[in-house]
Amino acid sequence: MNELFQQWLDGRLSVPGMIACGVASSAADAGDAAGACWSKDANFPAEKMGEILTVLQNMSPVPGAPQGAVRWHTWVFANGKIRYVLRPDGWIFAIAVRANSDAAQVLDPLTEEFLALHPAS
Amino acid sequence: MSNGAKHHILFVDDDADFLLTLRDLYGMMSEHSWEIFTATSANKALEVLDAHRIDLVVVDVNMPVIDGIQFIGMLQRRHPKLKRAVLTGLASQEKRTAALANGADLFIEKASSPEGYRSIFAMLGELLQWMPREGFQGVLRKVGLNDVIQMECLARNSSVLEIYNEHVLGRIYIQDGQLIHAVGGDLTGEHALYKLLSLPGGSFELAQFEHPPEKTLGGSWEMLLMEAARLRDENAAQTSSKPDEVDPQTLMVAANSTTSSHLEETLVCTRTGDTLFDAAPEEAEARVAWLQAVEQRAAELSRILPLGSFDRLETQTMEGRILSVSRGGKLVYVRVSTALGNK
Repeated sequence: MNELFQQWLDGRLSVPGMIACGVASSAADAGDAAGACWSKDANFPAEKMGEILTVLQNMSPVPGAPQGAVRWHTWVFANGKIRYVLRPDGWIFAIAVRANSDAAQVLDPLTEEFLALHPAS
Repeated sequence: MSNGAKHHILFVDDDADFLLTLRDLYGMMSEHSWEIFTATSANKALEVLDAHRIDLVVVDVNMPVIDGIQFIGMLQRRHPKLKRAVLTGLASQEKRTAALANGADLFIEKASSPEGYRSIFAMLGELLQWMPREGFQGVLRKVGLNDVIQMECLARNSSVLEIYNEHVLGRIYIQDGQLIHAVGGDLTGEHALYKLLSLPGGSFELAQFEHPPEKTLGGSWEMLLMEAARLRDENAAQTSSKPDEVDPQTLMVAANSTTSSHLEETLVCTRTGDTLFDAAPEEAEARVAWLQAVEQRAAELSRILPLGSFDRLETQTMEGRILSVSRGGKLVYVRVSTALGNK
């Protein structure tokens, strides 16, 4: 699965404004699902993206949203955004981008692509 | 008291004899500089108000059909510029609080001596001389339109926010803490509100409330402000090449994309969890706990990746969107169902 994500992300990581991204799985039978992170910012090591994934995975359920109904979260800060996408099969994707950048404009298409990926393919 | 323009005062009391006494007494004491009108019921008082220019209404509390405190509240809505006093024979702290909360400028107990009536005359005279300021002007550093609107709405005030810059002149009407109308340039309603709140700069003035020609806004002010913030963010990149210009066309398209939204619940609380406004159908405590958890997680994320101050968390669900906002020391939870949520 990591290879699939690697292939998918190739060519997408070079969008200006991209800071880092990562994938992981919360499913018990995820196999090679230790997760993987990539960084495009020399001042922000990929391991840090792993820490962000951990924080996001530990969020409590959202009141007012039935279990499994959440598709994604966007954390909006003054200078950037963190998008956190949840697939029904347990795979998660997080991406950090600079505010008002090209990368911020492609969050929605990237999210849709991630949700549509087929791990078996 | 006799110098200057004539004052027009309306006394409302179901005791006709008391009204006659007041008219004779205060007419004489004012050397007839007070033109005194009387009414024995709220209905008759409204007729007088429709027929004459009145500066001050003095209302008894205990009246049949509609009591004086309710009537004062009605006057505040219908005649916001009118000065209002309550005069009662049975004063209590409870009545005083209710009268002032309903918009009375003065709460007086009826007198039982000539000296007492002279005191009341003096107090009403002071009230007639008092000139309320027509709004205020000043410089509020680091305070934006959003902050002013939030303050007015949270305080459940009624006011008109006048906004202007080189591109646009607009007005946002707030009544009893609700956004009821907005106009900016050729736009009205949500389109105008979003346009005004997206202006990169300009001036504004908070003026005394007056009734708008129409009501074009409805629903929760929190939702409207959240939507404005979201649209502003979305439009920021598109307008970054021309930061001083506002593109009404872009705003029009963005605003239209949200017309199928339906507000489901809203909750506003302090950082310490005190609920300030709750229009959530259930489990308010869970919403408060969630908002506090969001703030905590945002702080953790900021420690790992500093991206500036946290503004909000947008959650997209199968049914719609949830906004968890941290702004101005307050936490806001808004849940909206949208047709877009099923895309």
